Amino acid sequence: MELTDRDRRRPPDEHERRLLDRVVERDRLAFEQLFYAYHPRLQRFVTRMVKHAWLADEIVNDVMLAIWKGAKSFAGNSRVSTWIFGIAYRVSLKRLRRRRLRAIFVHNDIAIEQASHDGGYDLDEQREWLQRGFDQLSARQRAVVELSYYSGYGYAEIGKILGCPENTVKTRMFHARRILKRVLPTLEHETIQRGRQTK
Amino acid sequence: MSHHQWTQEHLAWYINDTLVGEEHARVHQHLNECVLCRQEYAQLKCLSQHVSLEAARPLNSAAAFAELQPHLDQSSSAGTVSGFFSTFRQTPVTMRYVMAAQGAALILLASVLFLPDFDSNAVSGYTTLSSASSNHGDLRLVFDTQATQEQRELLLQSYGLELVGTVSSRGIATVKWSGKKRQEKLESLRAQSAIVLAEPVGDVAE
Repeated sequence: MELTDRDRRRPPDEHERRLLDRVVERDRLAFEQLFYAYHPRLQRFVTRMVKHAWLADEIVNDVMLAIWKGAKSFAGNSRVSTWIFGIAYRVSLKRLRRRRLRAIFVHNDIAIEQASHDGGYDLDEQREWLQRGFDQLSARQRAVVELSYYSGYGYAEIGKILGCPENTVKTRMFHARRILKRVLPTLEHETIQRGRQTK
Repeated sequence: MSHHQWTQEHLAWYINDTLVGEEHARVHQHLNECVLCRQEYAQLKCLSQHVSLEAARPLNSAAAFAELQPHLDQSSSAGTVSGFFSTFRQTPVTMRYVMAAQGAALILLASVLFLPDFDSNAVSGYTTLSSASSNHGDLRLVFDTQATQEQRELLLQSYGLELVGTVSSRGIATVKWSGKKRQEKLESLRAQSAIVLAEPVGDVAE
């Protein structure tokens, strides 16, 4: 298989495989190394998917715990990162489904969380319009965009992470781009206007 | 699929440098020829830069790890149970149904056998005409449905037979069966028109 520039820039998978082997043997130090290597990346990916930072914290912890418990179930037929992101994707979707069901009964839940999310940390203008643009996408579309543009995965690897055919990945990206193109320029304009008014 | 459409589908991965060989060359060549795709490429490149340069939320990985640590210990001690459920989840669906059915059958059986109120004697206490549940030494009689109450009593008196319980609505009775010349008595009873069946219960030694 041909290596891309991106592949050459990535840390070699062998090191992570060795860490995972040691995690199977209940090596805490190896797990800690894996945790620090993946925590920021997973946090970002999961936050993008579920849109709430506190929920992302919980999910990332669940994912890391799943890795600790199930390291021996890694079959070795993909990169370690593909396997880990796949777990993160599935856990996120499961939690989103559960929240959607609960939201039917608790209407104010999401509004309250959104308010606490907004007040939790400062958002610059760019981040705000980008976030609002992403809010227009489905969780699955957000995952494809994030994995492509931020994590730098190819469509074949994204297909493995999401557990879907490559053509589905391409279709999701196509629709996501159409929505983002429609939404982002408007939001960017609005945000800049609002910024001028407050100054 | 046209070159244009194909390129549109693959632009995102051309931008993130994950297309290789022929795929990369095909997009590259089309971009040189198509103004629309070049515009799309410029927009996507801009979006990609925004996404990748977006400031990350400040993280405290050390605190997150500290929070996780107690759970690592718990999961080590609960390995057997979680291991069972993990294996169960990896089993094909049809096998899971079979395993669940077997489990349910075992639970049902165990609950019947070990329930505190279960009394095996209660089951054996239920008698039918053919069951040998009466004490050895009793005689089971079936009266003719035409025989009146009076005729039954008279017959029992003449043979000196003592009822055990009562005569059922279907004319079935159990009597004590002791004394001498029982075989002769039995044959005589069987000869009576009011008796349909006369049968000793169990082995009765003369």
